[in-house]
Amino acid sequence: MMIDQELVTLSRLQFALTALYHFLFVPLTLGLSWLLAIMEAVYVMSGREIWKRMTQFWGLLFGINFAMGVATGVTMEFQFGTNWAYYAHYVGDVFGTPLAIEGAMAFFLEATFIGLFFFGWDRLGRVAHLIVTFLLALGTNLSALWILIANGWMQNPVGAEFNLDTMRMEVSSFSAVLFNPVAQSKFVHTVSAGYVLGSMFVLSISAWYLLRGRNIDLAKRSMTVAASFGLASALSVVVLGDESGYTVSENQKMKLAAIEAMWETEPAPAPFTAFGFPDLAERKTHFAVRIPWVMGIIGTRSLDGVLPGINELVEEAEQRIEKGRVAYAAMLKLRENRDDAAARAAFDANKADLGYALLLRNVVADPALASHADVQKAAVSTIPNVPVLFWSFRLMVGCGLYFIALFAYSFWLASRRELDTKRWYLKLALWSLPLPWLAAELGWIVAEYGRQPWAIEGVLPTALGVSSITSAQVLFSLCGFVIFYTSLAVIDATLMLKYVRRGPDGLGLWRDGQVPATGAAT
Amino acid sequence: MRVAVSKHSWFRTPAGRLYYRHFGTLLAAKLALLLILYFVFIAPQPRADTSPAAVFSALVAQDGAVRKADP
Amino acid sequence: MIDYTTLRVIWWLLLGVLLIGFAIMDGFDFGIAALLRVLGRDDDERRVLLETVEPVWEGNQVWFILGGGAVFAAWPYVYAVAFSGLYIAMFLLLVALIVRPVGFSYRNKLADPRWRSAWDWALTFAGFVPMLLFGVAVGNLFLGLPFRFDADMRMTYTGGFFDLLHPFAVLSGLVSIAMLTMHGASYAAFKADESLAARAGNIARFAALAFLAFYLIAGAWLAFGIAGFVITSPVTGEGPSNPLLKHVVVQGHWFASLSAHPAFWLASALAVGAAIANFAFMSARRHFAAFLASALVCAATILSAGFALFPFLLPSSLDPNSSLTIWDASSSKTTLGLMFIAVLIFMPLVIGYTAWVYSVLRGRVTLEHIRSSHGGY
Repeated sequence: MMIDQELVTLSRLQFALTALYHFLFVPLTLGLSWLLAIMEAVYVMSGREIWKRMTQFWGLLFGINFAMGVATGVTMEFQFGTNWAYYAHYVGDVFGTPLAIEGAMAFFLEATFIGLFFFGWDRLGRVAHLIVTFLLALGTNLSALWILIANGWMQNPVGAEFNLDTMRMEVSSFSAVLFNPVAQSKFVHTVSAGYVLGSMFVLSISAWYLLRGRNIDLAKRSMTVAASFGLASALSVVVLGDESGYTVSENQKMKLAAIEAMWETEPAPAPFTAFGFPDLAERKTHFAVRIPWVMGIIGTRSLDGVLPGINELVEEAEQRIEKGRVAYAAMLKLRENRDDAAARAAFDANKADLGYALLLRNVVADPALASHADVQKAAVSTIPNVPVLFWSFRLMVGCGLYFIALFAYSFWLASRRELDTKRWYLKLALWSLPLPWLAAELGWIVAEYGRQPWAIEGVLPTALGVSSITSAQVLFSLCGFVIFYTSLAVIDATLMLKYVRRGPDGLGLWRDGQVPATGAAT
Repeated sequence: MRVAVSKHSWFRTPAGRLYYRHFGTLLAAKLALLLILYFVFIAPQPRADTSPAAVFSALVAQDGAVRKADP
Repeated sequence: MIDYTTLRVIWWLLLGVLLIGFAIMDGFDFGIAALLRVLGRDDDERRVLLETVEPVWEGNQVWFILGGGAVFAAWPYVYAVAFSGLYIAMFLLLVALIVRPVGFSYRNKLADPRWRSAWDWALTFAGFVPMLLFGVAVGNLFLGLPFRFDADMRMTYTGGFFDLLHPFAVLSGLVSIAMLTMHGASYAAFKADESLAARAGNIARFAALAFLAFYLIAGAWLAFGIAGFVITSPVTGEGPSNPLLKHVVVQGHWFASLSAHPAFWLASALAVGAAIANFAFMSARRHFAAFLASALVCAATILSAGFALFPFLLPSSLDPNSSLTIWDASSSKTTLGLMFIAVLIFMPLVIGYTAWVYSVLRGRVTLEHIRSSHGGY
C-alpha cells in the first residue's frame, strides 16, 4: 500500500509545532530552577532577607512558566501513540523504557516538590525548604536526561535488534542505549542551553528594572548570579555543541553533510562554508565563503579524516537500499516459512540495511517491484532540507557565540559592581531576551529536521511511522492545538508581563516594613 | 501578597474589550495561516489510491513478489 | 532471572497498581475540580478547595503520566491501539489535562472576577471530562474495540468517536463519575474548612449510593448481557508478542474467568463493601475514614475490572484474533525485566517522599488562613 503523504505531512507538522511549542517553556524551567536553588542557598548561608525575596519573586515567574511546560508536555507523551502508532509499535520496546523511567525518576521528583516550594515556606525550616528547591531542580534536569536518551537513540539506534516474530526492534543492550555518546553530549548541550536561557531571562528582566530605577538591590544581585551562571553555561553549550557535532559526524554523516551543504567529498581537511546560498536542485552552494581546514578539524578532530559529501552518501544509500531489498524479500519469505534456511541466511546478512528498503515504500507500494529509477529516487530522499539546516545551524552558533560575549561582559561588570552604570549595556541585555529561545528552537530544527527522512536513523523512515488515521482527524487536532495553544500563550504572556511590571516592589513581598505593599487589586 | 477581589471586571472595560478583539484576531489569523498552509502545500500532495481495484492489485503484486524473490 | 510468563503477569499487576494509584491520588483532585463551583459558593470557599489540592495535584498527576509511560514501555501494542484508535477521545482528554495545570496555577493570579469565573468553569470541565472518558474507555474494553493487524503488525481502526458511546460504556462512565465524585467530596470533607464538611459529606453520600446502583447494574449487565472473549488456541506465556498467533472466539460471558479464579470475586465484594463503609463513615462524620473507604472503592473497582478482563487487555470486536492479551501484547523479556527493576527501585522512594510531603501539609485548609495571607496561589 502506498503511504498517504498528506497524512504524513500533517502529522509531521503537528508534531513539529507541538514539540517546538513545548520547548518554549522547558528550557526556562531547566535553567531558572537552578538559579532559584542558587539564590536560596545564598539566603540560607547568609541569612539576608533580600535573597529570600529574590527566590520568591523569580519563583512566582517560574510557576507561571512551569504550568505551561507541564501542560504542553502531556501532549508529547500522548502524541507518540495518537499520531505515530506504528512508530510506537516498531520501536516502543526500546523507546518506551527511557520515557517510563523519566516518569518514575524525574517527573515524580519535580512534581511532588514543586508544591512544597510554593506552599512550604511557612511549614519548613530554611534548610528543609532549600533541599526542596534543590530536588525540584534535580527533577527537572533528570527529566531532560531521560528524554534525551530516548532522542539520542532515535539519532543513533544502538543496542537493539529487529525481531522477525514480533515485527519490531527489541533491546539487545540497554547499557548501549544508556551510554550512547550521542545521548550524553546532547543532554549536557541541551540543559546548558536551558541554563543560558534561564540566565538571560533573569538578566534581561533585571536590566529592565535597573533602567527604570526599580528594585535596584534585587536586580543587581539577580544579574550577578545570572551573569556567572550564564557565562559558565554559555561556554558549556558551545563546547558540548562541538561534541554533538563530532558524534553526528560519526553516526549521521548525511545530517552533517547537509548542515554544511557539503555536496562533494572534499579532500581532508575539509573547508568550512561560513556563508553561502545552498541550492538543493542544483546541488551546489552559490556565493560560498569558505574557510579552509576548519570543518575537517572540527568534524574529524584530525588533519586526515575525510567527511563524505552528499553526493557520495546518496550513492552509498543506493547500495544500502539494494542490500535492504534482499533482506526485505527474505523477511517476507521467512514469514511464510520459518525454516527457510536460505532466506534466514540472506536476512541475517543484510538486515542492517532493512530500514533502507523501507525507504522504497515511499516511492512504490511494493519494494520487490522497484525499478532502478525508484531506487535512485529513494536514495535521493535521504537528503534533508539543506538550505534550512545550513542557515539554522549558523544562526544558532552565531547566537551561541554572542551569548558568551554578553555574559562575559556581564560577569566583568558584575565583578566590578558596575552593572547599573552603562545604559547601553542594560538596553542590550533587555533586547537580547528572545535570542536564547530562537537559538534553542533552531537547535531542535537542526536535530530533528536534519534526521529526515528517518524517524529512527537508518531503521524506520518517518513516513512509515504514522498511525492509520485519516487526514481529517489530524487536521482537526492540528486546528485544535493552534487555537488552544495560542490562547494559552497569550494568557501566559499576559500573566508574565503583569507580574514583571508589578515587580517585587508592587507585589508586597516586603513584609518587614521596608517597602509598603500597594495592596491594589488589578 | 494581598490580591482582593472586586466586583468590577477589567475585562468589561473598553481596554478589556480591546484585549478580547486582539485575542480573537490573533486566533483567526493563525487559523487562516494554517489553512492556507494546508491548501497550498499539503493538500496537493499525492494521495494514496485506496480504491478497491488498487488495493487488490497491490495485494496481488505483493503475492507475486514473494514468489518472484525465489533464488 | 524471572521467566517471561511471570514477568508478563507482574506487569499486568503493575499496570493495575499504576491505574489504582492514579485513581486514588489524582481521582480526588479531578473530583475537587469538578465540584469547585458546586461545593464552593464564593471566592473564599473556592480558594479553600483549591488550596487543598494545589500543593499536591502535580505529583498526583504523575501517576497518570507514569501510567502512560509504563503502558508505552511494557504494553506498546495497547499504547498504539488505544491512543490512535480512540483519537478524538484522546484529544478531548488531552485538552482537559492541559487545562488543569493552567487552571490551578493561573486562577488566583489575578483578582478580576471574570478571570476567576472563567477558570472555575474551565476547571469544572477539566475535572469532569476525564472522569467520564476513563469510565467510557473501560466500558469499551469489555465490548471490544474495532481494530485489526496486518502482517506488518500495522493496526487499522474502523470505529468513530460516537461509536464509543454504547449504553454499557456510558453506564461505565457513570460508575466512574460517581466513584470519583464520592472520592473528591470525601477528600474535601476532611481537608477543607469545617464549614464545608457537611455539604461535602452530603455530596459524597449521594455519590456513594449512585456508585452502588451503577456498579451493581453494570455488574449484572456484564454477567448476563455482554459477550465474553475466550482464547481457544493453546495459551503460552513464553511466546513472542505477536497477537496474530492465537485464535480467539466470542462466546459466553466475561465472568467465566472469574469462575476459574474465585478469589477474583473478592475485588467486587470489596468495592461494594467499601462504598457502604464510605456512606456509613460520612454519616458518622468520620471524614478521614470515609476518605480511606472511598480510596478502597477506587482500588477494588479497578481490580474487579482487570480481573474480569483477564487475560485480555484490549479485545478486538472486528477481528477477535487481533485482540491484545497479556501473553502477546507485551514488550520483550529484557525490557520487562529492566522496567521491573526500575520500578522496584523508584516506586518505594516515590511513595516515601510523597508521604513526607503530605505529612508536611497536614491539617485542614481553613477560611481564616485563606483570608489572612496568600494571594496569588
